[in-house]
Amino acid sequence: MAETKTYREALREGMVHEMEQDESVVLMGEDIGVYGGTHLITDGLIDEYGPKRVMDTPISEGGFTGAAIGMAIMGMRPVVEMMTWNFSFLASDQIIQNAAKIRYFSGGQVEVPLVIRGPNGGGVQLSAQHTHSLENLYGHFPGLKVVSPVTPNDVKGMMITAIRDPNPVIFLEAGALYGTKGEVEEGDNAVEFGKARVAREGSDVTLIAYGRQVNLCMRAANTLEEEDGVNAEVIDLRSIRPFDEDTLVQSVEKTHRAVTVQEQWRWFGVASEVAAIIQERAFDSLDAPVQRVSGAEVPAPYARNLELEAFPSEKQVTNAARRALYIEEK
Amino acid sequence: MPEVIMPKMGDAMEEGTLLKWLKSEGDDVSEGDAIAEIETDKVTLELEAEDAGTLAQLIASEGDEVPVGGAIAFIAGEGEEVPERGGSEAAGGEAEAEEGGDDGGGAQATATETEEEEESEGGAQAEAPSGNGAGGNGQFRASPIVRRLARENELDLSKIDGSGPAGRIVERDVKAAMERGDAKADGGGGQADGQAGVAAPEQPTEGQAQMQGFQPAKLPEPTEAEGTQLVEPTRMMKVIGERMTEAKQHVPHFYATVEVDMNNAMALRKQLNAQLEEEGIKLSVNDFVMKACAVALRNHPNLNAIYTTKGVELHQKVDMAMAVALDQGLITPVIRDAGSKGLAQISRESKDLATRAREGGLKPEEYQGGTITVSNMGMFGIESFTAIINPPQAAIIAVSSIVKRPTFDENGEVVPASMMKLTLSADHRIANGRDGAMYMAEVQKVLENPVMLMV
Amino acid sequence: MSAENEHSENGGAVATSSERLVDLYKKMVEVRAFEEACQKGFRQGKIGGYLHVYIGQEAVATGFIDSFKEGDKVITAYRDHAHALLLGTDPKEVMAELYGKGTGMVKGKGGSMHLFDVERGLMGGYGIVAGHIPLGVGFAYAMRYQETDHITQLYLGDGSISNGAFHEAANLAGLWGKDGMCPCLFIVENNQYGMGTSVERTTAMTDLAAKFDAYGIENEKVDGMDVEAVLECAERLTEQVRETGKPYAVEALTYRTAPHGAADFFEKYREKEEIEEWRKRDPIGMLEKKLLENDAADEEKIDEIRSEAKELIGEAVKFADESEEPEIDELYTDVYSGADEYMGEE
Repeated sequence: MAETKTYREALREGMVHEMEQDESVVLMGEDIGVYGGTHLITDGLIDEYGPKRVMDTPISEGGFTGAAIGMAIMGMRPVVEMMTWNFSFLASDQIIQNAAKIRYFSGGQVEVPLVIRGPNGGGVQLSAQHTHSLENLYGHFPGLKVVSPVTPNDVKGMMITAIRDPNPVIFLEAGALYGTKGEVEEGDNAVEFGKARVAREGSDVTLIAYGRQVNLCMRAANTLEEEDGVNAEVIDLRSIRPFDEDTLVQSVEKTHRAVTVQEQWRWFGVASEVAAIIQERAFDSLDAPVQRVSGAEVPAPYARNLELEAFPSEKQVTNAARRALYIEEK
Repeated sequence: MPEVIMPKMGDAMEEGTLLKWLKSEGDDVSEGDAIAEIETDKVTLELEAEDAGTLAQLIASEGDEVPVGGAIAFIAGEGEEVPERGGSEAAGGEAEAEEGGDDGGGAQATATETEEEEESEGGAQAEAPSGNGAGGNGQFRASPIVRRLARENELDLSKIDGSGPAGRIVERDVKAAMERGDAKADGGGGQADGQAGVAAPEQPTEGQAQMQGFQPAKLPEPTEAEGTQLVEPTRMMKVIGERMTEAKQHVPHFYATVEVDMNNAMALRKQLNAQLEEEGIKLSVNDFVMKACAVALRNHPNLNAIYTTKGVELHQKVDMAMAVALDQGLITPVIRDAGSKGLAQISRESKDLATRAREGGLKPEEYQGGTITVSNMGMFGIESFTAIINPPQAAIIAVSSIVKRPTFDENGEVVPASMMKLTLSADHRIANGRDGAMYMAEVQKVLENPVMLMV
Repeated sequence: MSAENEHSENGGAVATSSERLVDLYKKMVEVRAFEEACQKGFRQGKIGGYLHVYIGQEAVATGFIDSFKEGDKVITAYRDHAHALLLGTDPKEVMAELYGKGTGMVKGKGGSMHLFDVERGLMGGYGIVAGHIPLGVGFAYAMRYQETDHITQLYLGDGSISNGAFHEAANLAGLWGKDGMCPCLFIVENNQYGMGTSVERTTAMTDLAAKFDAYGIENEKVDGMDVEAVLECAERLTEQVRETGKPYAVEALTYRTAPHGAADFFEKYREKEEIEEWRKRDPIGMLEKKLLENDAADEEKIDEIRSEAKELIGEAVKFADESEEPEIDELYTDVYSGADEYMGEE
């Protein structure tokens, strides 16, 4: 059974599903309780679950993330909100030095079943300090799991999996997509980590993305079909750590061409990893070098037109595909 | 450590034979010293040392066939040691032989471009036509999938044009070539493995056979019956055979014959030879014909052309090739800019070239190029014949013998005349029937009014 | 930095039974012996990385951990060997960890700064100054959320008081404590130097206990060199925290007569005279004197205790020496919990 829901609703449903099952699941964050949450994801939950399970915190990202780590070590299952992932830098010492590593340097005596979630990515004119896409940053650290769901069904299913996971999970929501709609399965629709999603099957070129750029790639694929008769395959990575290499490789072995699209900057980003994996494992299948389309190498600007320019566009994606196909760019 | 390699002495040359070492291992060698005798498909020549030093290692033995670019010796400088020979630089056009079993060649992990750059050492390599992206050594810019398809389907990448950037061969090029069926690699080991065995002549491919609508006769295996003998073709014969087959199959020949009254020409010849005797010059009929053909091209420039990957390339200068028969085949030395040379010079050059051709002493630049060929079989009493075009030239003129025949003069009286037939074979992609006919008419006119040879 | 005896607010050391004092003395002597053996081991090259010993501060942990009850948790920074030993971890396992052997208490994967013995309540061992403080506050919250009566002993140094993590965590503790949801005892081990920088040079307001006022956390001071004073404090405060679920802070003034860490050779930041002064107030020395004075123990007993300690630690060193290094496969374990134990490639 599936219903059409928004990303926001589905996300909330995922959290509520687990809160119902397990009393040790608590929510923490700035203004998630009484205020209802800046994105209205937790709206009304404090009335249902009370302030001990829906905790409003002061503006102390480091403090409350660390406290949540402590709680998780003690067997609770906190779901901490970063009001936006742009504020996570303040908590990064706790995330990187503690959450990711405690299990390892305690010789396995301890586990940290913690979820840190919040809106990630840009595209809504929030300008430089409120616009980052942090898949590559957190994806870098062994000990963390990192996911970036795009569809409403995935955000619910991956939240359920995240809460159940005994490891710290960095849950990067596509902030610009909270209002988008999709079919969401009823009940327990846990989506496993480490498996990419083939959003569109194709034969001529593989477009690879995560976050809202997946939707961009779907639009680009339609354009390529209409204008160039090219049948593109679109892969939604969705699980950054663990990463699904096999789906990528199989796709490129079929299509022989790859374009990877990301909102974040080119240097040392996820697309670099994708390109490296493809050339390592599918070298003899490649008809062209792996193309990368990334954000402009600047802090995010405010003005609407500049912001649009700063992030990948359909034109850039389709032209990258055309380059890989050796057909004329438009 | 300077390597001495088998040089490429002609654009079709893929390998040469080391006939004889002229120096021994350990000998001191100066720049310019002849160190070996090499036989190519056309000529025998001496290989000169390009560096000074000690001839440190003779890699090839006398009689070995070595591919172009292959090492045959080392010249060690002061205090240098001969390095280990690791993966061989097996060059030559067979891209998949280089790719296939040879682990030594080419680190897989590096990009295609770097791989080619690293391996393209070694002597002067004539550039293959730019369309197939060859960079020295017969390497091709090709995407990884292309190399794999070539390996798997035994394709010769040198036969495929690349449509990608900088002539890179990409998947669609290979797919198209496979559909056409024209990129198959030549049969197996005959060339690269140093044996002089008789290679089986090329059988028609499935694709070709089907396109023709019927099955052409396939070649039989040798019968090895009593009274038969297999003839081992020399390299020259093989190459000629290949080129002639190629010409016959791919060049759309058409023919036009004129019969020339040579009376006036013969008279002028006699007159001129009397004058030139003391200089030791004796003009031949062929000299007249060649000059006439060159002159006539002035008004018919589209027959002075070659056919390239991008189409017809017209030439202003007439580089006239002349066919010289040899024991083991045929060679066509070229008289450069024949249109500007006088009869005497043409005569001198043609004699010199012919002599040296028979001795096997021609340099590559003397028998390469050429925009039109004249082939004379008149001395054998041949009344007429048609010649096969030397690709990529536009045409060839077959010169037959002079026969005394009765003709009619302007009064209708029967008079004897020395008649000579000239037959043009021309490439219909370059010239059409009318062009050919008009050209030959011009040649006839010039020869019948030989004073035109002076202008 | 005065060497004067600072008493707890309750005034005066509490009278304690002889047995108990002898026991405390024994524990402190063992800790001291262990730490001295570590210094030796480091000089011999058997211990690598960082080494922060507790010499001079023994009374603080000994006093507070004496009031530790099962189910409680202890969390501290990186000067953590004493806490491990006092909670009951076998000195062999502690030394083996420092020696980087597979038999170490965290399998050789943590080292000196990351000692964990979860069964006995030791929750680390952390290398980032102040980084552990929010965790401790989280432990305390969980204890009340899970409706237990356990408490958390959260040790921190004077250096950490300047860090944002401390202030944020203390604020959260005070906030949650208002609802009785934070049974956390902050134990400030004020050894008067944050590595090479004195308290005077790092903070504008040097009354460390008073800083907790800003977060609504009751606080007091205790003479960290007087184990009996610490003992009294510990009993009273652990009881109080356990009952109220509210956090409390105690600043224990102490002194490390050893250098900050093994690399702190020159100790340019303090005078030799000062160290000598504080040596006179050495907690073990002072207690020994007291035991002899009160006939709680005689010279023989003292010697016995000392030589037993020496033997105990000697065995620990031997064990550590003879143990094997961890199996190479251990490199890849414990990165993640669950079926996907290790994710990555060699």
